[in-house]
Amino acid sequence: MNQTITPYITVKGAAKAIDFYKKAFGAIETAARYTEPNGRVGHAEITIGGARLMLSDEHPEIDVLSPQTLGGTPALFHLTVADAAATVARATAEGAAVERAVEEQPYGERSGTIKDPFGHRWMIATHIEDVSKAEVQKRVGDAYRIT
Amino acid sequence: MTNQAVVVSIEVAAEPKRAFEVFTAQIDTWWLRGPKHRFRSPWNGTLIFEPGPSGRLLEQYADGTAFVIGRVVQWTPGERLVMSWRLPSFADAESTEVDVRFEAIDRGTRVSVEHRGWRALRADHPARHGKQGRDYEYMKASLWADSLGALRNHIREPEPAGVWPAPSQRTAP
Repeated sequence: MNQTITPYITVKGAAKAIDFYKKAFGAIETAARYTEPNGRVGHAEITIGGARLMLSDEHPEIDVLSPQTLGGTPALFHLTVADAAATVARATAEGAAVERAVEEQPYGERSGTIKDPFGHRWMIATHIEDVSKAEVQKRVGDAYRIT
Repeated sequence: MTNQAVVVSIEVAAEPKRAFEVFTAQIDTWWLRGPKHRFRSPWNGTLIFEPGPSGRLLEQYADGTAFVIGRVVQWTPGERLVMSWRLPSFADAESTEVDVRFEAIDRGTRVSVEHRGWRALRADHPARHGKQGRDYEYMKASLWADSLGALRNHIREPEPAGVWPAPSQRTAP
């Protein structure tokens, strides 16, 4: 087996979350879904832009908890799309909240950050130009040292 | 969790009967092109789905030859299509099976592909591209995701910007 890393996230309402990721990001379900008789999703897998993401419902009895229960998340997903503004518009139409509006960044992306209806954060980005380190340094001035 | 089969599903904006019709009769228009998705060199063949319970899926080439990908096992328009599925590298006795279900949902149809039987392929089979177990399963799932994404986009023209796959990966309409 090759070594791979795949994010595995917890959401409150996995079936609804999968629908959201399909509508907002064009996700495709790429494995069998494991649903308990009571509707709780034990495991599901989706692919967004060629990258896999696994997810499940909360399982409080084994401390598998979602950002909504934990009160935040320390991670975000960087999603590259053809048109960041259009994807953000579609996500917000489906219930996501804009944290940082889409704008041009000094490193050659147009990007913004949203929080999806399940508390997970996404940076939605479109590559607009290749920028050298020297040029980025010029643009950010003293705010960062680019190495 | 390791599955016995590759399972990929997608929702398309069409009634089950039409989704079935597009999946079969129009397969050449939406199935992605190029060596990653087409079956045999020189990668410019035309996919032809001969419909019906004794139908076949084949790729036909400009020189008049054809490669038979599979034969229909179950043909239930608007509901289910089961067929054998072979690649050019398969020996005569080797085959896998593709089971496609079309299920009505409120916005259209859920198209689910289950591709099974690949475990019978020996470890060094060229169709595996050196991959075993989950690695191979992920590779197949990714290819089917590409294909079903193309089907979804084909049915939903004009598609909204930014939806995967990127325009460069799509089949020309």
